[in-house]
Amino acid sequence: MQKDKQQELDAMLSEDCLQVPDGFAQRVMQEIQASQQVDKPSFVSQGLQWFALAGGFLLGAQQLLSFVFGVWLATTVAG
Amino acid sequence: MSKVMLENHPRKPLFAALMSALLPGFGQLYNGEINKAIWVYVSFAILAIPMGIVIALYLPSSLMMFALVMALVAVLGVWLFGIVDAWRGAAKQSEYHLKSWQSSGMYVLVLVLFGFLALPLLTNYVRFHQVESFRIPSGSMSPTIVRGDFLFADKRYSCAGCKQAVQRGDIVVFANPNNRTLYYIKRVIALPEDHVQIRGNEIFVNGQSLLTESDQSQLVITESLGDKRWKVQWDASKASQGLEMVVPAGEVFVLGDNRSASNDSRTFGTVPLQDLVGKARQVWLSLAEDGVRWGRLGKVLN
Repeated sequence: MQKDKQQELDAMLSEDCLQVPDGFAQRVMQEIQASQQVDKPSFVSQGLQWFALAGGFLLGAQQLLSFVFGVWLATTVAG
Repeated sequence: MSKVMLENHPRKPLFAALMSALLPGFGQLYNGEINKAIWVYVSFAILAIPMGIVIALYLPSSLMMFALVMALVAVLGVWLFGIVDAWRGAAKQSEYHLKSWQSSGMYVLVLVLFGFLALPLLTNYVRFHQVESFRIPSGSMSPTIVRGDFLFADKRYSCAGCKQAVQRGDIVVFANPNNRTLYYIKRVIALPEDHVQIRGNEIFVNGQSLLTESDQSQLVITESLGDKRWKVQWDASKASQGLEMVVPAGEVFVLGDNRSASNDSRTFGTVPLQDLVGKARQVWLSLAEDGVRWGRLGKVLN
């Protein structure tokens, strides 16, 4: 059994290597570099993100402060 | 896996910190740290304020203000921690690939549910069912409560399922029977079906006089009911009207401690039990015209 396997391996080694297509290594490296590049959002998209955060911040801050200081916000007694 | 998720989206520390300032845990979510985001939010929304208030309400009245101050410190600490942690977490992630759940819609949903819905619900729950702060602009409860006092009222009072029933001598906040948009604060003198008499400056409940001590002028009087004692004041220039009545079922008779300068059951009648909203427990601030009355901070009322 082991002798058969040895013969198989010898046969594979004597064969020619696979032919790599032209420019294959170049294409692989380009894809790797492209995936590592930072995706810079557009100016409008970035601006909208900050605008949404600012608007939400003002609204949310009011809710948050009401929660934090809720117990201390006094209701006025009339008499 | 989408192309967006494979691309690099480095985390911005300022963005993360602002998100956490807006809603604790939100910045951690932006950094992809779900578990930490949940813990920060739960600590902020539930463990700090509501739990702190529950603890405060079960402590003796004298410790209530201290416990509420500690709850405030805890919630501010969690808030600050969330902001700093979000900043640091984002700063470490200059290379970051978006998780499948990180989308603008998810962020909006979280903000709406946990910021605009859950927090106001919790705030209202605490104010309507646990503790509410009241500002006293009048002197009708002088000398016990003076103009400028801010006090905490326990809202777990006189309601179905509540453990605290109304007792004679309690200082209560209630809705004025003639104008239910106004809150008043007075002392409960008589309970449903009690017999009340006022003769001069002496009050009788079920035939028993409340008068315990009086000064020589008989204008500052100590009254007592059971184990409760309090001081009341009368104005000699204003004649006291006599009164005799049986308090109707389901209602209470209330008087201000400043007997000659109080609009109370002698004028607007008895108060239905369901209109009692809370029992005054402790003064947490007292502002006079010339500054803070430091000696009144923490004064226990019941």
